[in-house]
Amino acid sequence: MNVLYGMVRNLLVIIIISSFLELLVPEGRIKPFVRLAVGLFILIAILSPTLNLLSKNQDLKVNLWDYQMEEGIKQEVQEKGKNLNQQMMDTGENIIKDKIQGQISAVSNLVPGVHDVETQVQMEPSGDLKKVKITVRTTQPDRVNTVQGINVFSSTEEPIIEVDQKQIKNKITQVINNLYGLPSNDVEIEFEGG
Amino acid sequence: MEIAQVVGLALMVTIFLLILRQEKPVMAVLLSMVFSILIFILMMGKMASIISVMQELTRRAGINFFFMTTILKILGVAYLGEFAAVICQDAGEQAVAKKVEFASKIIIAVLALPIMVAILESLLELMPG
Repeated sequence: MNVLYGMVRNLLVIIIISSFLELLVPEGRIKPFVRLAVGLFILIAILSPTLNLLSKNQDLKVNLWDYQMEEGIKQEVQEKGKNLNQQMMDTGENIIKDKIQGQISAVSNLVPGVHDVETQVQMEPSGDLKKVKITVRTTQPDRVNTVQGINVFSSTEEPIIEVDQKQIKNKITQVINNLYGLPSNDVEIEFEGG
Repeated sequence: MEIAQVVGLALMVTIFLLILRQEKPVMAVLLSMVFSILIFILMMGKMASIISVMQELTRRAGINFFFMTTILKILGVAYLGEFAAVICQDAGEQAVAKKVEFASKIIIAVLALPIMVAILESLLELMPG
């Protein structure tokens, strides 16, 4: 009884909607076409609940068209999708970050006078490099031995060739600039005595 | 009273059109187009309220809004086609007006086609054998 009551009520609303639509149809040669479309709309609006009632188990095309995801489920699915997307982005960003940090450390280690390097990289949301912070450990706090001079003619030890912090800084900044195109302002280098 | 504004505007445009048609027919067509667009923009807000009421009614009746969207699209195509055809007829270009009507009819048929196919397939599935 409730089903019948619901159907009759829906039918009433459909009739009201269709009569309103008939009013909106513009006059002219296109009118019959629009009236046909409105007629089809009325037919499908009436047919859909009737077919639902008659054959509940049949997968009808109209039912498929009528399928609407519940608002709660839709939001949940969208939320999960967003979270998954964010996770994927974070993971990808971390991998890239690690690789770039490793690259910068490896390259900086090649600079004469550098003993050990620790790199921290900040990335833009677009994936570009934003800022690089490098902590350089040298063998001596202020003076670093780079190349040991060899004196063939004298057995006395000569003073070693020294490279100051400024030179190391310039070299690392230049290398990073050449490799990643990062301006020197965005490269921060700190020295730590080792 | 918006109808007073529309009527006033329409009367003014008609007088201007009567004068312009004698002197500069091209300008008359342009004025007619501008008036059509103006009326369309003025009525846009009202149309939006009608559509929202229709949407609510459709939701209450348990009809998928997809069908309603299709019908509204068809109505939009019909109105635009009619507007363009009338403007072309006013300019004395009957052939162009016919082509616009033809295009509108085809677009409406294409939009209505999925609903028709869905009805037919459902009915065929229901029939035994």
